[in-house]
Amino acid sequence: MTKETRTAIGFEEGRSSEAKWFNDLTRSRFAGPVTPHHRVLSRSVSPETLAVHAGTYEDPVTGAVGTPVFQTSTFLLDEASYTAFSDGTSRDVPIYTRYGNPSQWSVQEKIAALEGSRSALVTSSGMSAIASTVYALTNAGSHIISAYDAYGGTYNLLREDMPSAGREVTFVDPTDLAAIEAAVRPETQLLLFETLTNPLLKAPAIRRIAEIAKRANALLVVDNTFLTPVNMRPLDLGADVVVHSATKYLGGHSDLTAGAVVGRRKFLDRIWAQALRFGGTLEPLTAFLLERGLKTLPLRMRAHNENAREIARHLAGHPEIVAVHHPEIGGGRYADLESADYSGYGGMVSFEVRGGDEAALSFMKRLDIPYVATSLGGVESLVSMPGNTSHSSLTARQRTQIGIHPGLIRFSAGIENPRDLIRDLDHALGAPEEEGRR
Amino acid sequence: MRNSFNTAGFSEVVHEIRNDPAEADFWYTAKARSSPSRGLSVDIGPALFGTIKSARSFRVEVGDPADGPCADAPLPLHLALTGIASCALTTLVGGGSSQNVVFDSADMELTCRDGAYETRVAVGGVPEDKVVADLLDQVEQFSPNYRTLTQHVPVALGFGSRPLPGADGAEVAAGRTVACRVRWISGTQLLSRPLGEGCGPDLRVDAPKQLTGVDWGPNPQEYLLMGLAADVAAQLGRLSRADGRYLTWEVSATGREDIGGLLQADPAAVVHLQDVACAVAPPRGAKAASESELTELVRTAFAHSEVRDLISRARSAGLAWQPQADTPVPSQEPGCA
Repeated sequence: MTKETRTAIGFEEGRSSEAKWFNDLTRSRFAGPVTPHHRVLSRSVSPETLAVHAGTYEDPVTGAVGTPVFQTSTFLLDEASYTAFSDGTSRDVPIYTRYGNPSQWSVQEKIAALEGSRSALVTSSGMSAIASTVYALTNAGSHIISAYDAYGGTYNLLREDMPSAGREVTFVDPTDLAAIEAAVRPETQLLLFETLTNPLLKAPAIRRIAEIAKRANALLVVDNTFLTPVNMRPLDLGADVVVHSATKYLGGHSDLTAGAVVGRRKFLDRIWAQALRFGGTLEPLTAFLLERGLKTLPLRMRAHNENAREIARHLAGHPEIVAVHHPEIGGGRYADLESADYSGYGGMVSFEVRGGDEAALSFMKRLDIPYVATSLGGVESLVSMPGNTSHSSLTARQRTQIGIHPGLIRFSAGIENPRDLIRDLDHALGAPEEEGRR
Repeated sequence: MRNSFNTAGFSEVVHEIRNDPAEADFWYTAKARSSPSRGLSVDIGPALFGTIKSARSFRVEVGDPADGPCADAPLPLHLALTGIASCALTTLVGGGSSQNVVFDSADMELTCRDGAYETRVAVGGVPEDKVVADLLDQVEQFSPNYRTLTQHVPVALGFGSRPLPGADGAEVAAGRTVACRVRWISGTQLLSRPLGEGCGPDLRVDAPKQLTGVDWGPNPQEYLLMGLAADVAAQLGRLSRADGRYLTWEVSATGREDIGGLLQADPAAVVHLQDVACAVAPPRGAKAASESELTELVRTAFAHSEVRDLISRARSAGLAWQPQADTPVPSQEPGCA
């Protein structure tokens, strides 16, 4: 194989040995990294087609129609490798899998295409993606604004690690635009919000928050784990960078741990450098699993969206349910929802069972179909209580302040038949307690 | 990376600003404070590189020029000289890296003697003297801070919300010698040693990580503006103390760099700093003084600032360099002069 086909598109054009000053240098930022063997499709192609075909490594030797698993930690060194070291372009040549691997590049291209961007990065977990992004895009001395009810891992990173890293963080209600605006300081460098929050499914106005960020010359990073690019593309709404826990819907089968970051290479190259220093590499085999899972993302998301909507509607009229949290149900929380920005709301629905935590625990034991487990986004339904899992580190008063009341259950609807899920819910809500079923 | 300098990163900026010239505007800020009880200090404010903010936190405790030989702190002019010399060396190494030149060392001594500026450059590891000579010619043309020294660059003055026009024409001759020796370490990292007794610790210089640095210290443009803000604040403190008023003064200095000038992405781009401005906040505890008295004091302080004079008056400097055979190899840890 020649070096031209081994290196990323744009790498060769960026090599220059005749420069007399900076203006003679020929490297510009381009898409990817992808090689000529990676399938690059127009971003105007439908998500269903991009999910199947974008990024596939079309192997010139075997003609395999699927991306091979490049299960290797290192690659042969050649002139391109040495140039990459010398010029600082080692993201664009397969040198060492911690730096980059064609298996990663395949899945990165697929995720970038789905989010409507030119570049993406996959990492070893969602938290690896978030931590690398936050560290890379801020300086010691800067200020960050985020949600007080952000995902627990994100909240802990911001609350426990940022002070010693010289970053200050202000936590606000993500739906309170006035509070976000008021929190802005001259040194505010990053706003970090989620497209849909966990577990109460608040829907921050991403487009409006992007406007606040632009006015502040700050970057907006959006965690799109709960919605996925099938339901929202935050970059189209003004966000600068999108992060994912790819463990959830992107992977979709509860069989891998991965993260993803999407955006312009201006940011992604810095996040890549941070991630490789942190050691947040995605293993090639996991990259393969993630790429395979992504091929069905639009199909799965349709089922997740519909199942959650059906469940939310059903529970909204159930006498044993105190409250249901889902955008389709409406209510004051969603009064200003820009519904045109959403194609769906994902598979999550949260609700409060009458009788508090004890009743909720009993209810979960009576369920037959979903597994009682944390996480979300897999093909199988999962159910858990935020009060004794993701938000257990909060005081009771803090939980009440953010709206996590006793009896709150988080139901991650899988892609099973919704009639079976609803029948199971009805049974668990109506049946007397029966120990030992699960 | 060659010389630990991220050539690809600079190449990408060249092509970015050709597509989007607004990304070439780099803004820097420094804020100085002169307090009767807490002395003189200067911080940098958030910088803006096109549309990208870099909010780093660096503070330097500064010696008051009115106190004579300083006590364990650099003078404002030391900060300004650090900014000029470090910019010249970064331009030298960066420009050389783009040509595949490999350096062992690069040092520059910059001296202000009675208002006149002298330089001495030493470069190690480059076998061909012509390469160094050509590079130094390019530094004289394209180093933003060096061009700020050699060109007339207007400095605007404001007091509170009011501009005070026409205040930057006065010449200043401090009647003393201030010097720095700056040593390139790696990539965009440099170390500046203020020369003279009791001038404090070495000053770290680096580019922000948004511009391929590692946030090791303020960047060269920030040092120049730190020197300006600190010097005007020091003059304000000195003059108000002479009037029997013990006031706390806060001075902000800002400036814009068109990075297209350094990179020559746009041959028409201005290389030196532009839109340099000094804003003085009305002092706290100044009830006894009338506004006109304070305004006059601000004007006088600005006129007496040697860093303001350095920026606003064109100087005939020139990078003095001797070919390698005649140049002693500098020690790794330059001693105090």
